[in-house]
Parts: sequence; structure tokens; C-alpha cells
Amino acid sequence: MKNSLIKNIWRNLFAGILLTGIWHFTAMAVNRDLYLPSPLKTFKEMAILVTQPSFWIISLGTVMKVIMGLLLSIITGFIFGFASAFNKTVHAVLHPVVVIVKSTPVVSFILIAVFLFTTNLIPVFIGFLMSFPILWTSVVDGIRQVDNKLLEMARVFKVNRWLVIKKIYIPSMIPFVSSALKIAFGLTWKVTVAAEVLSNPEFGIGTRLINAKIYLDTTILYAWTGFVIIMSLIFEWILNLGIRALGKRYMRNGRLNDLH
Amino acid sequence: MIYISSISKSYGEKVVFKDFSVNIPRGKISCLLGPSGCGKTTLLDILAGLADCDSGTVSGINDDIAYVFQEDRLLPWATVRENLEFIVHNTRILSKAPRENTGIDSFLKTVQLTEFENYFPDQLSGGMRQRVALARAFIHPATTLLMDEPFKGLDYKLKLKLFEFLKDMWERTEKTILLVTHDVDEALILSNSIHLLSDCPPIVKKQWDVTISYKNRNIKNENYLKLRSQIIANISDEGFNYN
Repeated sequence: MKNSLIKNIWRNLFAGILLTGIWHFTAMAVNRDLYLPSPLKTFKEMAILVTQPSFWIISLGTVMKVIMGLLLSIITGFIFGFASAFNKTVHAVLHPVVVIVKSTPVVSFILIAVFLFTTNLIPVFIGFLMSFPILWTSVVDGIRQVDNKLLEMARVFKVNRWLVIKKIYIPSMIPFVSSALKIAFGLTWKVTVAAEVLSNPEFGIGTRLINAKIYLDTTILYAWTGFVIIMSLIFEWILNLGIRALGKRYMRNGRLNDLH
Repeated sequence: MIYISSISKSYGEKVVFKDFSVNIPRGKISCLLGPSGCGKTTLLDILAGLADCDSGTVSGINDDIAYVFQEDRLLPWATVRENLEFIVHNTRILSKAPRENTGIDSFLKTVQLTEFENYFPDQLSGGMRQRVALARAFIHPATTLLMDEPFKGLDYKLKLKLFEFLKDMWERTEKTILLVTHDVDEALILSNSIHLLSDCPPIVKKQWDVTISYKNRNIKNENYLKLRSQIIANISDEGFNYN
């Protein structure tokens, strides 16, 4: 077990060095920072950025927008998901909306949102809009997968509704909702930054990206992109911990992994 | 009396009941004896309000029911104890009775699962899961208990113990117990009346009141043996595949 862990670390380290090496030599061959800055320059730029106080304010701006967008879609996804699973009319109304939202290019929404909202609200709205269909679908599917035999049992024994939701619906939905959450999170992160590029809020990584492009400073573009990746990984890790805790709370330990 | 009067029920082409009638006395243990897969489960579902009949009426039953389903129907993500708490919680919340008074411990002891209270259903054998389902139905304070082949998959010794328990509970509470089975001895040991069903779609072929006292219901008793062979003779006439 321990041996395989060490082996794994070595394997990942090797992959990291190899990929950075390829990047490095490609950058040397291109030899123009405008097209491809070298990894060393990018990392240096990242180190400079981190030491600036504005870095943290800008990052926090983006992180807050991502969290708000995601929270909004989780809350509405659950409310409308439950409503749609139990009421055919609600489902009939929401289903086409979700289908349209899913197939509309995200930039169309961003450009429309630019007319409607303030710069800080646009990325939140876009993050919400992109992850809502995923969460809504997972809640509807999760509820439909609930074992009817268990519901009948609860009905015969007159178990109250809240207990049925807590002990039958939620545990049955967790596998669906947790994988939807992971997908929604990754997507929200990306579209929020994209929306910032077009809406230019004062504090937002997207604004820095578009500025870097305007000033033709590709190294800064790469550095900020590097931070977006790192933050996304950190948040995904936190999210996974949260999902696991949720699994432990409502489902049997380890069961969550079996179902994936 | 629970009156089941000329009910009919079909699932698509398959006719499960056609003009089926039977009366179940309240406060007694009654048994529907018949071949597997012949609508007995559907009948219990109708009584429990989980299925509707296409025509006919059911009267004399309230919704105050405990049910041992044919499958165990346990929450897979809850332990044995949590599965029992799931149905007791209700009454506990309403009456604000302390947790210890729910009787879970004593029922776990009855079905001999005390050491397994923290196990999950998939860690238990089929027979053990069935015992949890039995405990769940016993705990629920209902006046009617429906049981769908409740003792299948249990070893003989435990089965006999549970028979004792069931008889005991019935004598104490005078619940209406409706037992569905294809096991003649199970029916004879437990019931006050036995309704023998014919093949599909079933009708009540014959009905016996079992008046032998509980302590004399064993194969040493002449009357028991006589009734037993009568029932089996009637079953074989029907071509009922008894094994």
C-alpha cells in the first residue's frame, strides 16, 4: 500500500517534469514570449503576482462570484428539481427552458447579460445559469430513481414526510447530485472567468486576463491562467471533502464510491 | 370482519383476481394458503392501500397496518437499528417518549439480532434481513398485521421461536393477523382459520377453522395430523405444486 503510494508520487512527478520539459523546449524553439512564454518566466510572474496585495483581492472577487453562482444554482436546482419531480406541469414548463439554456452558447448569454446586469452580477448570473440545468437534471433524475418499494414501506408504516425525505430521498439522490456538483463546479469556475473577461468587473481574474491580452503581455495571461487552475483544483478538493462528509452523514460509509 | 367482496384485478392481459371473495375475522390469525405467484401479494397490497382493485369492494379495514413484505424492503444505507428507528421515530417525536422506551432492544432480542444492530443490510444474510423486517412489523403498533411469506429462508429452530412469539403477541394484543404462505405446517401451527386458494385466478377452494389448542398443534396430535392430511389432499386435488 505504502509502496504503491510512493510509486504513484514518482509517476506523477515524472509526468509533471516531462510535460514542463516539453513546454520549456517548445517555448525555446518558438522563442517569443508573445506566443508562448517559458515555464520559468510564467512561474516567476506568478511569484511576483502572489506578493501583491491586489492579487488576493482580485482572486477573492472571482472566488466569491463562483461560490455565489454555484450556491444560487444549488438552492434553485433543489427547489425546482423537487417541484418538477413531483409536479408534471412544473416539469413541462422547466424542461424546455433547461434544454434551451443547455444548448445556447455561453457567450450569447454573457452578451445579453451585459445589457441587463451590473458588472459584478454578470459573472454570478452566468455561473448560475450554466450550472442550474446540471443540478436540476440531477435532482429530477435522483428523485425518479428512488426505490418505490421503500416509499411504499414508509407509507404503510406512516413515516412522516420529512423523515422520508431525509432517509429515503436524499440518500438515493446523493450519487446523482454529487457527480452533478463536481461537473457544475468545474463549469461554473470556467464560465465565471469567461464572463469576467467580457464584463470587466473591478476585482476579477477575467478582467486581468483581458487586460493582459490588450497589453500583449502573454506571460501575465499565462500566470493568471495558472492561478485559475490551481484555485480550481483547491476548490475541487474542498468540494470532494464536503461531498464525502455528506455521503458519510446520509449514506453508508464508502458506499458513495461503489455507486460511481 | 374484513370483507373482501368479488374483487377483480388485472395487470394488462394477466388476470390476477376474478370475482374473488373472502372474509377475514378481526382479532384472529387467518391464513391464505396457496401456490406462489397467485395474487396473494396483490391481495395484501390492496388491503394495505398500495394497490387498487379494478372492481369489487374491500371493507372493514382501516389504515392502521403493519406489513411484512415479501422482500425485506430495508433502507440499504441504514443500520439494523436505524431501520427500526426509521418507523418508530414518528411515534417518538409525537409522544416525546425517551429513546429507550421505543422497545427496539427487546424486539432485536426477539429476532436474535442484538449483536448485529450496527450492521448494514448488505452485511446480513437473507434470513437475517427477513428478521429485521419482522421486527419492524412487530414494533409498529398497528391493529392489523399483514405478513407475506414471512418465515421464508429461516432455519427451523428460529422459525419455531418466532411462531411462539407471534402467538404470544396475538394473545396479548388480539391483533388481526393475515398470513400468506404456501407452507401447510406454518398455517396449521399459527392460524385460527385457513383459507385454501385454488390456482390462478384464485378462489377460496375450502376453508377450515382450526380449533386445536396451540399447545397440541404438533405431529403427535391426531387431530392435527387429520387436518393436515385433509388440507394436503385438497391441495393435490387442485394440482397445487406443494413441495
